[in-house]
Amino acid sequence: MSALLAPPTLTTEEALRERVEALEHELDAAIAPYELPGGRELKHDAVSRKRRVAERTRWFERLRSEILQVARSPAWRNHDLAVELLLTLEDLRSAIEADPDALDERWHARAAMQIMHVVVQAMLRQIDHEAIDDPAVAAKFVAEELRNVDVGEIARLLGATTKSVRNWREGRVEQIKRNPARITLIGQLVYELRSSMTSHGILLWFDAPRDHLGDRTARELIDADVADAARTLLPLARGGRAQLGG
Amino acid sequence: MPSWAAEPAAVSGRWVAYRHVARGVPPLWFGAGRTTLRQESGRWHRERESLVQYLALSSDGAWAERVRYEAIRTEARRLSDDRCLWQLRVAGQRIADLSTFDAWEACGLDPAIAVGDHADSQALASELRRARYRGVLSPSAALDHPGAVNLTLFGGRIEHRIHGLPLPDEPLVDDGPWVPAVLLTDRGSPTPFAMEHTCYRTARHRTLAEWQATRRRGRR
Repeated sequence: MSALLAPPTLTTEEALRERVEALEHELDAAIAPYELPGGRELKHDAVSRKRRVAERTRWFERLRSEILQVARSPAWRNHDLAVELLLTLEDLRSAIEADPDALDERWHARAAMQIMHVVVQAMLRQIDHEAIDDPAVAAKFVAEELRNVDVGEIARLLGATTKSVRNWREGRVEQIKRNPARITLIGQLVYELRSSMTSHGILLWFDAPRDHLGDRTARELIDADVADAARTLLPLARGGRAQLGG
Repeated sequence: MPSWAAEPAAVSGRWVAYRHVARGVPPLWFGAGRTTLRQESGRWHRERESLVQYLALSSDGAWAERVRYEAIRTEARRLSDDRCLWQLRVAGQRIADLSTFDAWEACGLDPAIAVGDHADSQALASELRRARYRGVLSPSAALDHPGAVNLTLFGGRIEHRIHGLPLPDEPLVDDGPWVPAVLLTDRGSPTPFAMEHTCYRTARHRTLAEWQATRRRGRR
């Protein structure tokens, strides 16, 4: 059979991620930088109004259908984020119903869409975190994310051999038998840190003494006890996503 | 009964404020429910109890928050940090003016709470919310520099991203949660000034210590 006739089969997880990503792109486009509608004539012109309302209706039905597909999937059916997504869909519906001219002059629909966007991003993060809970995925992720860092440094951080790290960088990931919990924890931490620092900075993060940890480093905590370290370090890394009052 | 002897002054106004976040993270906190409204505890709120917007009134103030949180003490770490810095036009009403240590003292509050342990400021924040304040101006615990002030707004806000234009004087829509926001950098590092003037978590806050020394000299 021709390769063209046999597209790669998506696993359920991949298909689900693609679906949520599609939803994110849909919302990205809808909340593009705000531009004032055309002049007074266009705002109140009957033909323009009819076109705006029809476009909005089509767009909303497409969005609703995509959201329902995600919310009905077994992975999300009972998840808090699916409930949040459906609630924001209802907020958006209310905002649309209260705006018969499709102008959204009070930005209520826009607010609902931005909140929905945050929910969708949280869903994508959740999918990623669940994937990284698999040590094989975590190993490959860390090796790729820290590709500018010396192989020996990564091997020491993960408690693996340099040969394994080289294999992971090339996408060859066997079953992880050595230090799987450590590799998973480091994968989750790197996932949080990668949007805030360079790959070299991530390595420095593990070796920086912290005053509120009694001058110990993240690496020292991990070396001492992976489960204990996870309880301290995961909230620390998550809290670094946005400014908190110090 | 609130812990203050006299109510903090309630001020209204517009401020230019700064806030750092990771790439891909919105500059302000908002959400739809239990998961997306969950914000890690900070000086003026406890996780799962409420939601606040932590802002600094100077860019160095925002960077000092980053330096303090991450305990950044070397040039190598400073320069490997890679953050978004946002400039925001904030409008607020009934904001508790505790922007100076004098203001804390005038209200019968211990100024050390402003820069000390979070448990005390979180308790005070609950009292401020109950008294219908909608935010608080307070000395920066992170940027140890006279006049460094943070603005914390209670509740969710949504950014209105401005591209290619200066920060407007006020929001386009004035009855909602909208805050005009300009992305200043998406790959920024804390400034050397911010790192030099950061008060780390277990260190003594020099600006508070100097204020206390001045008060003691004044009483003699």
